[in-house]
Amino acid sequence: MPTTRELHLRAMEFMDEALYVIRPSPRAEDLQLENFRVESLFRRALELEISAADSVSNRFELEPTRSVLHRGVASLALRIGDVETAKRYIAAASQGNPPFEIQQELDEIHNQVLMREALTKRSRKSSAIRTGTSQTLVKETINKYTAQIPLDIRGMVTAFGLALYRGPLGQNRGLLERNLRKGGFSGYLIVVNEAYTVEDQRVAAAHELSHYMKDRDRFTDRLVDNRMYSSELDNRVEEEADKIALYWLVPGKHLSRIRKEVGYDNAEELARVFRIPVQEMKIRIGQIRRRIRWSEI
Amino acid sequence: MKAEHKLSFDALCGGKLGLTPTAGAFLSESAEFCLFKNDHPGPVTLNITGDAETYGVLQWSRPTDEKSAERTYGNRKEAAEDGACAVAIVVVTQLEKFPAVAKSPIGTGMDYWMTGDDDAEIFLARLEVSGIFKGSSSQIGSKLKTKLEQTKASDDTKLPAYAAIVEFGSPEIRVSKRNVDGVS
Repeated sequence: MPTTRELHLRAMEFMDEALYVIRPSPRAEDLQLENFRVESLFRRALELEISAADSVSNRFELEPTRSVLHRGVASLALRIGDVETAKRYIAAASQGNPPFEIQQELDEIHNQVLMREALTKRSRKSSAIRTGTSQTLVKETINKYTAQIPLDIRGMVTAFGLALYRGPLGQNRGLLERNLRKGGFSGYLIVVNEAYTVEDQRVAAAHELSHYMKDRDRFTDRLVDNRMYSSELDNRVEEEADKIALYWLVPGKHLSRIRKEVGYDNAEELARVFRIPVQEMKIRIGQIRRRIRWSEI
Repeated sequence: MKAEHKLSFDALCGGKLGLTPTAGAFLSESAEFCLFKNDHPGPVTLNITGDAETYGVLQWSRPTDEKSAERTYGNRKEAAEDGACAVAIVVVTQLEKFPAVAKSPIGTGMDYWMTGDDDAEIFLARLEVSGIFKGSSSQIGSKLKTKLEQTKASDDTKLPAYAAIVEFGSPEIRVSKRNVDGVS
């Protein structure tokens, strides 16, 4: 019978094969196959890591080995979206005596599991028990990030479990991809065109995040948005993603306040404050029906 | 007086330091790419500073295909982080006489531990590593301080923690050990 160490080492062998085998970036048509291959390797690693963790499940004195192995199971399960297994092993680890640092990491993974579950199920369940509010976890996260301007788009993308990269994309603005090797805990990543301005990159990242939240079932593993934000998806879907991206980057409550300070139609200054391109700011201003003030009558 | 240590990636690439040959080769190749891009000769003298003041002679090979190495390790920050793991594993196992390292998935990354020969007690000391492609001594010092600070969170593991910063410009590795009582 293999020892705990042997089981763990074999699990890590499969993990290594999934993560480190150098292959050229798969072409769009190969991406699905590559993700399938990586997912299979993660699954085999998970099975072995479960056996390793189970072999010490009653050895509460064996810390940090016990909690690190349980944390390993939770991490691997999260990578392939097996939230139930992840939750079970986080709970089992916490029932022992995990060192403070490992407990912190377990808590972090638990939050990621809850986010992944919320996004997968499009859960409308309230997070009241967890946070004392009546918002869903997704809404709560959006509210957290849109409370500050300029929006921390990298933080928001990461909070939803995506990795964000800058890269050469030719004439295209952004790309959303399911990539189990390089993606975040959701298994997805966003690439924005490094040749564009930071302001343009921010809009592209928010646009792709919107696609992830709403449209990831509409395409197979990779979605590319060209210079005009048009893709294989319907124009209506693209317009919706544009609109949502601008709502996040320029939240209405902040826009009203800042407009009073810098001038109602001062698109240049507003664009600077919200760190988006002036053209996009003009579009956002156009989305809000102008109210006529008593003083103007 | 400084002692010379003979260092190489052979054991790491051969799967003899606890990691699989696949992972060992990937990390070693990242380190070799960083050394190559910093125009170092092979072998190169590696300054070992921190708790110990010594040096090693590190054997390494230039990439056989420079173009594909550029394409593979184009992200220098990432290459420096991965390469630093290779150098740190080779140096810390040799200097601290640990037979191997062990790793464990954490979130979307991995963490490294020093390990012994026991079949159940796998994780014996945490190893925190960071890499700098080319930087100054003060940058190394500042990163090491941050890393050591981070290891305080591990105190109730009752296990020591090693922090290692590898800078590929000199090249240098600065290693510090933090014991549970906080005395480095």
